[in-house]
Amino acid sequence: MFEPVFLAQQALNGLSFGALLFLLASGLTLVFGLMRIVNLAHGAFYMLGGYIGVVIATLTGNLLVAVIAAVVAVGITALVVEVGLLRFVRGQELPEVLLTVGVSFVIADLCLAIFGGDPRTLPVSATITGSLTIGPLTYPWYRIFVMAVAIVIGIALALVQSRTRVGAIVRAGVDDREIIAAMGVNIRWVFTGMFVVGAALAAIGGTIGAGMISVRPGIQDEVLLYALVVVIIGGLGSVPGAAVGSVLIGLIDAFAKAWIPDLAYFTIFAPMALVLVLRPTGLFGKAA
Amino acid sequence: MKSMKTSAPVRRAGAAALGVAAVLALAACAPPGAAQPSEAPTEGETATGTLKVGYISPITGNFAIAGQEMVDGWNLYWEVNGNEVNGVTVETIVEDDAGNPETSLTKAKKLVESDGVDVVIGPLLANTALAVAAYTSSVGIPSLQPVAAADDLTQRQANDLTVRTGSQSGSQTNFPGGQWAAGEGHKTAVTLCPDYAFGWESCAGFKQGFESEGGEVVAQYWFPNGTSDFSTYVSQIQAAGADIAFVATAGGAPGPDFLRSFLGLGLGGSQELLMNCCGMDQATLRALGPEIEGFKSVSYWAEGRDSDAVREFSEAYGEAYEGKLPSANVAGGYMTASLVAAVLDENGLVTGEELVSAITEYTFEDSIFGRVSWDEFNNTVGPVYIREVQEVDGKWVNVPIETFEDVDQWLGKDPEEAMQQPTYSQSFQG
Repeated sequence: MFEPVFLAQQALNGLSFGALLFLLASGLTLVFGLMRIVNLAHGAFYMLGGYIGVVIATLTGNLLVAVIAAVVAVGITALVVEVGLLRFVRGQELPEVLLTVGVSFVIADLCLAIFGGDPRTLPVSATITGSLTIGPLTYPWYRIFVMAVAIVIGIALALVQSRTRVGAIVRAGVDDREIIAAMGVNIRWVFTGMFVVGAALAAIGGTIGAGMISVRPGIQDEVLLYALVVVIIGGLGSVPGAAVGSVLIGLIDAFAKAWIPDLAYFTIFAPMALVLVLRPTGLFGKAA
Repeated sequence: MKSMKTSAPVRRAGAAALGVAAVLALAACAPPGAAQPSEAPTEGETATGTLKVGYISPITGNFAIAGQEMVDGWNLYWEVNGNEVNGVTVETIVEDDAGNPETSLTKAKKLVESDGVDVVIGPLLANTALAVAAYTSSVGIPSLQPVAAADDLTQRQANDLTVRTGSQSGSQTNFPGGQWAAGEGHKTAVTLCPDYAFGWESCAGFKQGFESEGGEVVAQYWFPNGTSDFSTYVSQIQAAGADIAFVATAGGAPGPDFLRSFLGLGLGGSQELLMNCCGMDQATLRALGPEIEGFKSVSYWAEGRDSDAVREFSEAYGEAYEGKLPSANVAGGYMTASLVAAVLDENGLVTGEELVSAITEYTFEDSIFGRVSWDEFNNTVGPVYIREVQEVDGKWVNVPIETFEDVDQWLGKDPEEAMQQPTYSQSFQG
């Protein structure tokens, strides 16, 4: 239980699961922070992206093509949802949240009707096979690849947020959307754009995640729960917060399952409760 | 997933109370086999009419896929063979319980009281099945169980009117798996099962089988329902370094998810593995086929068995469902239908205790599961197969490579002794 190889492997298990959580939570936290919408359809976007990614990967055997297809399809879906539905209830919190729940149900049922009930995973032809071996430690390349993707996307998001005009508008919008609107920025389309980007990140997570955990009916709620925990720990609207929260939850999950399996769920929610009590805005959140 | 769990103390208390009730009921009725002096129908003269069936299954909610399959199997039989047997018309009313015991009970009452059904079939989950079986027996209606695996359904909470018709108990199927693993020369084993009744029973069956043949289970791990990333558990299995790993799941995504991690961490070629019925079911084979060629599992159902009954069933199912092969849940529904048809064919219209005794006195020589009979607690006694994933006509199929005939639910003990044990849990594995 405490041998170095076992510990290293569990740490990698935790980090790679955390990487998947980051792909999921970064989109949710951006939408959450900017639009003040708890987008409960985020899990459904992950699911839809996962199914489309698996189907395209099976047809083409190419993961990149699959990811692009999933991002485009889910991005269009998110655009339709934002422009066609969410705009009509803008600013009314309860209808906004309920609407996203409704969207989640509709997407999940359509997925069941179209893709059936079988759990789906990426075909071998589209994943990266083989393992990295360092002495007695072996670890699958695919999970290392997932970590790399999460790091690249995380750095890209952080750069866009801190170095570009779009990022500045988004940051300003997170802090004070009235002022940014008063300064002549069309905040409505910034919202739409951010909603689509958030959904696209979920779609990337869904496709790449399908090589680690299968896509199936019910996955939308499972991943949404994890994402919410990460976002609450990290702080609303904070990409670094989502990164830290994901790594924390991933590691806690892996080691708790190994050492105190009976408390495996408690150990995920306990840190969240602790953060809420000691620092209600999350580790990296700003006071409202 | 919460609905599948019953906390251990409640279970035990309930089991004890119902156990007493069951013993009293048994005492009152004398040996159940002899209880029924069914009127032998005279030559050429059998009762005709309608057998009204209430079929409860979770067709929505978390268990919708399994529940729908269980219904599909039942319906398929009647669609292929017609719903009239020996002058008896079989009429089915399907009700959805969404996997919730209270809903199951409400639906069972509705079926009995307002629809006037002769028999209630289902539901799927252990706790829903136990709730419905307790109710139907109290009003004198037979209850047939096509899938539910809970040991207690035909042990501590057995009653004269409840029959397991399309599956085996959780520990029963996996006991021969343990014997087989030891027989293959494996000295040590590690187990991984879901952390609730079905998992405890499955692992207990394997462990007792393995240890009865001289093996030693060196570590047991339990995963909570709802686990999707199995890499932690795979690392633990790897660290345990046992000769063979036994892994059970209740079906659905955990099978492929576990194997994805197992293969990813490179254990596919180095760690011997035996899975249970449902972890290596058709859904898993459809997801991973070529990657798991040669992998082995233990089950009462083998879709790749060379038999006319299985072939006929598989072809009919494939025609109706896009060339798919039937899973254990479909097989349970189909088995129950073919069994009901067989006893109606022999006896004409039988209901109530007559229906139950017609089933439990029957030996189904060529069922899709092989030769199956029933013990005095109304549980199936039948074959258990060690299966291997092989490619047959372009599809991935579980083909039996070894058969244990006439497996009963007592794991080599006598019934009294077995039922005096505590119920299986993490801490009690027999």
